[in-house]
Amino acid sequence: MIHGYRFQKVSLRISQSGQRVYFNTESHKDFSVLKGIALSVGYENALFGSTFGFRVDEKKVLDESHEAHLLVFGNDIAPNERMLFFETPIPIHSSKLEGIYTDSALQSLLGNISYSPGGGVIAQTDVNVKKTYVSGKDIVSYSNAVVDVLPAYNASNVAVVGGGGTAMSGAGATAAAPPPGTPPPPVYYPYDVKITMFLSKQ
Amino acid sequence: MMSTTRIIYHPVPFIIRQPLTPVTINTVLPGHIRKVIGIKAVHSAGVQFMATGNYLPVIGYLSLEFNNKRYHFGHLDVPFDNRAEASDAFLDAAIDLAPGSLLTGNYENKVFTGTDYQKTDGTVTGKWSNYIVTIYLKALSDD
Amino acid sequence: MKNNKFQRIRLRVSSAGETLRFNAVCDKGFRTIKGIYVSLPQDKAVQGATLGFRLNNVEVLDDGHEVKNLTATNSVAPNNKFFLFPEKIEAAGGSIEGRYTDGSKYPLLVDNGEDSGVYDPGKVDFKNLAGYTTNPFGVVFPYDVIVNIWLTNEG
Repeated sequence: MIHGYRFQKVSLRISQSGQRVYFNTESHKDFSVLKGIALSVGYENALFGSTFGFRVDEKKVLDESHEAHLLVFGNDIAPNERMLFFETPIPIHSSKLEGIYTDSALQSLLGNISYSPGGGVIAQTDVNVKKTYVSGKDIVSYSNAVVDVLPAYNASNVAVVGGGGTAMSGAGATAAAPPPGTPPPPVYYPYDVKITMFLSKQ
Repeated sequence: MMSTTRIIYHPVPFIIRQPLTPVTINTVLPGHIRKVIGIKAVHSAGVQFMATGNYLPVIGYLSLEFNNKRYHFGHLDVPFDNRAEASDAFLDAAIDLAPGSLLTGNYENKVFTGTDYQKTDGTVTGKWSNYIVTIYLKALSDD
Repeated sequence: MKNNKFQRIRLRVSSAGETLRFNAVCDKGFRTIKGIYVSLPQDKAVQGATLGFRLNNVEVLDDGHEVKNLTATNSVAPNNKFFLFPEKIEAAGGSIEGRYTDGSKYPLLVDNGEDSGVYDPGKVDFKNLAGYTTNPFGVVFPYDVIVNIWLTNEG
C-alpha cells in the first residue's frame, strides 16, 4: 500500500563557487501529476544569484536562469504553503525529471559589458552558457551527475569596449566585484541543495 | 506525457549598468508561450554590493507592454529583497499573446543615483555596482 | 468525546548528527492523522534535521524529509503551524515508527565520499562520520524535540 502523495527528493552538493550540477531522475511510477517544487539550501547567502532550471520530459518548466531564492521558502509561512505550486499540475508518467543548479550564476554576468551603455536584456545564450540538458536514454539513473565549473569570470572577457570613460577598467572583475569596504556576505562551501517535488496520484 | 498546455516560468533578466540611464527592454517572447497568467519583477544580483541592509522597498520603476506595445501592463515597483524567505506571489494577469510578439518597456533606476555613484562626466564610480533585475512571466505554453 | 487530539512524542537529542528511532501508538479513539508539527527549542537546530515516519508499515514521510518543512516560527498563526497531509491518513490505533536525525553536522553530514554532484541519501552512513565534528550553526546539546501529531475524527 502506498499513499496518494509523495515528496520525491533529490539532493545536490555544491562545493565551489560557480559550480553547476545537473541531475536527472524518473518520477515515481505510481504518481500521475507533479503539483509543486521547492528547494532548500544549506546557507542562505548562497541563494542570491544562484539559479535552478527544471524540465519534465524534456519540456522546460523553469528556465535555467530561474533564481533559486524564489524557490526557497522560509519558516515564517505556513508549512503547507512552502512550495511553488503549479496552477496547472504537470502530468507525469514515469517521467524524466531534470534539474540544473548553478551557483552564483547571475553574479558572473554583472560585469558583462556587451550591452548598450545603460544596460539591457540579457540574452538567453549568456545565461545558458552551454547545452546543459542531456537528451536521450544514456543518463537515466538517479545517481548520475554532471558537474562542471563555469569559466571563471575575469578581466579578459570584459575587455574594455569603445574606450572612453564609461568602460569598466581596472584589474579583474571590477564591475562585478563588490566595491571596497562592502564585502559580500560569505558563502561557505560545500553546501547542499535539496529539491523536493510534490507528486500526487490525482 | 505532457498535456497540450502546460505551465512555464519564463524569466527575462536585464542588466542596469548606469545609475541615470533608463534601460530599454525589447525582446521577442518565445512563440510557444500562449498566455501570461502572472508577472513579477525581482532584483537578482548586484544591489547587495551597494546597500547596507538586505531590503529596500523600491530600487526602480518598471513599465511593461505586451503584444508589440498594444497591451500596457502598467508600472511595477521593483524591490531589493535579499532576505531568505521567498514568496510565489505573482501579480495576476491574463494576457493572450500573439505568437512571437515583443515584450517591451523600460526600467528606471531610482536609488544610488547621486554623484557618489555617477560623476558629472557620466562615468560611474567605484561605489556603483551593475545590477540585474529579472521579470518573471508565469505563462501557459503549448510546445 | 473530543474530536481532536494532539499527541506528543518527545525525543532527546544528545549529540550532533545523532539519529533517534522512536515508536508510538496513535490514540485509538481517533480515525485519522491530520497533520504534524515538530517543535524545536533552537532555531539553529532546524537546518538539516530530518524526520521520517511510517504508520502501520506504510511510509507517511520518508526519512529524508526536512524538519524545516514540518515546523514554523511564531510568525505563523498557531492554527497554521501544522503541516497538513495532502490526504487523510487512517490512524485508528495504528503504530508509528519514526526516525529523527539531527542536522547540526549539516552540510558535512551528507558526505558520501564525493566532492560534489547528486548524492543518494540512502548511501550515507550516519553511524560512521568519523572526522566530522563540525557544528556550523552552534547547536547546543542536549535538546528536546517534540513531535506533535494531530489526530482527528472530523472530516
